Amino acid sequence: MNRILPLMLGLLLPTLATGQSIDFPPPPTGHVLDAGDWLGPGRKARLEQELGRYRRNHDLNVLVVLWSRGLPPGTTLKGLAARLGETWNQHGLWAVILHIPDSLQRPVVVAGNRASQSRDNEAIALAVSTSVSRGMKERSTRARIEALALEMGEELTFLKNHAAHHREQVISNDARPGPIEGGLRLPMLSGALVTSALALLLIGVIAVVYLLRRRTTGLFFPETHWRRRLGAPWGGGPRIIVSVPPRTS
Amino acid sequence: MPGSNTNTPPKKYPAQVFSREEISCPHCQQQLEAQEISCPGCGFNLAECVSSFPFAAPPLSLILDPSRFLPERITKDLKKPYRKLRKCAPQVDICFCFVRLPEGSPLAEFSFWLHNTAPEADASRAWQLLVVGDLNSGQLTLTSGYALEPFLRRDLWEAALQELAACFSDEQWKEGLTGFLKDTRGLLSAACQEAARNSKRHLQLTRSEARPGKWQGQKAMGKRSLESGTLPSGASPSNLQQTPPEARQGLQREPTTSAR
Repeated sequence: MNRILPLMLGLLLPTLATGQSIDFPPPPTGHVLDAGDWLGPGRKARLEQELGRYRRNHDLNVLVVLWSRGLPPGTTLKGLAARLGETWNQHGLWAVILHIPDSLQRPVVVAGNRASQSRDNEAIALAVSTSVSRGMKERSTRARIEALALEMGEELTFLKNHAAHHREQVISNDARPGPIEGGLRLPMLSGALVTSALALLLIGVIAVVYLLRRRTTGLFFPETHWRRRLGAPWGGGPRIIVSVPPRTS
Repeated sequence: MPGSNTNTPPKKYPAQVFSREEISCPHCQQQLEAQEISCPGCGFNLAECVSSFPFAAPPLSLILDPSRFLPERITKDLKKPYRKLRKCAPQVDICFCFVRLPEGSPLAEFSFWLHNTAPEADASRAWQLLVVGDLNSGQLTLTSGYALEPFLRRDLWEAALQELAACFSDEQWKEGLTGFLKDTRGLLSAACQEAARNSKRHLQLTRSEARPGKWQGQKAMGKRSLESGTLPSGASPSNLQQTPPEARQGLQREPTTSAR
């Protein structure tokens, strides 16, 4: 016990220290946190306009953070971006494009969903990857930041629309019998089965009736005028006489 | 049964519609005409035959074997094929009788006597097949009632009886009798089908003859045969242009005796 306790403290303390050392600023009123006005007013205004449109129309929160407070020790840029996104966004899809101005580090993009599922995480990772691959083609870092934010907004919009469409499809399939199951395959299959069963039943009935008739109805000869003779009431005597052959053995 | 589901009695056909075979005297084998009271050649008739056998005839059953010649379980062995035969042709019944007749008692006369004098006779006796075997002379005969007579083709039934005789020669009693019952079923089936065809053809021809002015040539032929009282050569049961007068009058009902 004496050995385990220091070990646990050793593991937990750096985490606590990291969490306590980050001094989060209050969430920005807009979408761009650029205290040093590093992006420039024109680029910042465009970003605010476009990202505001994403928020209004699609309930997406894409934030551009130009971090000027220094990176706490033991914290990566991606980790910081994730902490910022989770802290500032309480619901829905979000993305944070984080960059430390005038540093050698490349801007990072982190996205998430408060109501995330494993399938959503995969889709979000794909969206991040796509937007990064497109946005990082710009020449200047400022242009890259702007492009990353806009691309991320588009990707998340597509992702959300796609998810909504998929949900509608699932709901509509659950609500009514699908065209494949209810309309095409099942009637064709059941129709063929019913027809075959009826045909077999009919053949069986005919066979049974035939056999029953064959079993029950005997042969009946027509009545004739009897050729009576020799005063005999019932028969005129034998017409066929054969001899038993002698035994060969 | 035809006509059984109606109140009208069954239609009756002339026997010549189905058979042209001659009938003969059991005693002298002379050819007879129908309705002969006694044989014109020898004067034989049933009354004279009865005097030849001064004892009571037994009632007919499937097996009559007073001398216990056949194996004991033969009746049991024949039960199934007999039941099949009765089911196939409910009108027809069959009896096998094996006796030892003394010399001077012809088998044909004995068979004639037994068939007509056996007790408990009713209309079904006319549909009876009676196979009688004389163990002394080694002969087998087949007798049939008047009702069944027109439907039996002599050559076919003789062949079946020969088969039975051959089995008896090898002491295969069970095989012979069951085989004969099976043959009987087949022969009766074929005869019934042929009878249906002949009766249908007879009805068609009778109707066509009834039409005025259409079948004058055929009527003339019929008249010629009527006048002569004999049939032209090549006459057959199916050729009703040459049927005798009573046949050409179509379907008649016998006023007194009715088999069914």
